[in-house]
Amino acid sequence: MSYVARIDENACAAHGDCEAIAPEIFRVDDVAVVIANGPDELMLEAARICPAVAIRVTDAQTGEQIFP
Amino acid sequence: MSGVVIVGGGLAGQRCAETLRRCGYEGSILIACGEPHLPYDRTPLSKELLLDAAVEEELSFRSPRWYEEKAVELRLGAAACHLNDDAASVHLSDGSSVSYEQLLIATGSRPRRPPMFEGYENVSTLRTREDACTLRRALVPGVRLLVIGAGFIGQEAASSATNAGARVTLVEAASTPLERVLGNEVGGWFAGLHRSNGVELLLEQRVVGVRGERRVDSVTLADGRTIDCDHVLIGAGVDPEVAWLSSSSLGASRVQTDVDGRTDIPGIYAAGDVAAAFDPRMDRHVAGDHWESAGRQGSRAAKAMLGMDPGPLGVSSFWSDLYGTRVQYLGNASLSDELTIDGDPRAREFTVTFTLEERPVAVLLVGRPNLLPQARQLLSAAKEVAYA
Repeated sequence: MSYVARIDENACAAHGDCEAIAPEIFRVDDVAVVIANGPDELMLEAARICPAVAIRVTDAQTGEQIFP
Repeated sequence: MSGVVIVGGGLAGQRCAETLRRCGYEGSILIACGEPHLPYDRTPLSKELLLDAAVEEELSFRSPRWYEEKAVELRLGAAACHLNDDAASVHLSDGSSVSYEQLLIATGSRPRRPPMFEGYENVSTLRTREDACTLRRALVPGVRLLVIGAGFIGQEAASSATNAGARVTLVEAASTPLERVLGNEVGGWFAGLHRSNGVELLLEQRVVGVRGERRVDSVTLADGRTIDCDHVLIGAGVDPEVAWLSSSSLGASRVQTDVDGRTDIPGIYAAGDVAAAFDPRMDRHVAGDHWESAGRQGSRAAKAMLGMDPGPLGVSSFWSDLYGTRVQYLGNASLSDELTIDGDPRAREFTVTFTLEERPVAVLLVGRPNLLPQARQLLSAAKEVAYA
């Protein structure tokens, strides 16, 4: 549980793929929001599947960008 | 009924409703959908839905419960027939009329269908879920599919059909796929991609004749060649769905709007394929023609209806999957006077940066999905100058 996911609102086009695979982490209306933290791998999977590459995953401790 | 009426059950209309509710609008919202389905996503129609029937169950943007919870009234199978802007009402095909305080025109577009193909059983276009299901049923292994037009729809269908085991012939009038958008050099790469995946690609060719009784058995090309086929898919572009506006003050042409979707008539907005929104970066009206821009326009129109600032105009991107390779495109390459290619086109992994007087105006990414944020940033940073 060391990763943090953030949505780039200007990039997000509300495709909804993140909510589809991780509804406990993301909620998508007309734009996606992070509603809770979740397993690192699940956040990364959501970030990778996002067609708009609008999810940035960073390491909470070091601030290092993990994805993209 | 008054409040907001949204005509058209596609992405632009759906996003408009979502944004209205998220931004706290408490008045009534009605979406009139011409098709008998909940608003649904069309992007899988040329992709997954051609390969997997089960995808049809996942097409709807939202569940019926969402519309109940958000108090968004749906009128399904109710196409717009007539707009009376003097009376602020829309007449629908189910015989009802709805009056509005604010109206979003989001009726989308319809595929062009050359008259010579009228009346044949084995000819499809690809716009609705029924269209996609018809095509999917035709895609049995070994079937000879003729695709007319190598735009993105035609190319995606060629890719999906090949994947399904069909033998695909793709006919395009230009000298490469997407030539008008991306130019000859990059278009040539797309040509090679299809050919290396076994598609017979016929360029600078037009269909001039059709043979068959109830079904098209073969077509004749301009050079006299005959192509036998079991099914025909027409991907010859779309026209905005505007006939229902013919007696309104807007007239039956693509609806021009300002940057936030306002038409010239107060209280009437337009978004998506049916609209041409003013783009200050290009100093002209630009026809919205892809998924992200349709969604963003619907959302911007909602904020404009509420008197809110829709915020800065983002750079919309477009994506496609061809033979397992992700293709993404941002900006407007037709403005460019030069391009540079970075990476390895043969390995299907490269970036094309299109420039105008050395400033980036568009980017094409092939097989490099993760570079999208960088590309977006490049264009955002450059656009103020580039479009000035």
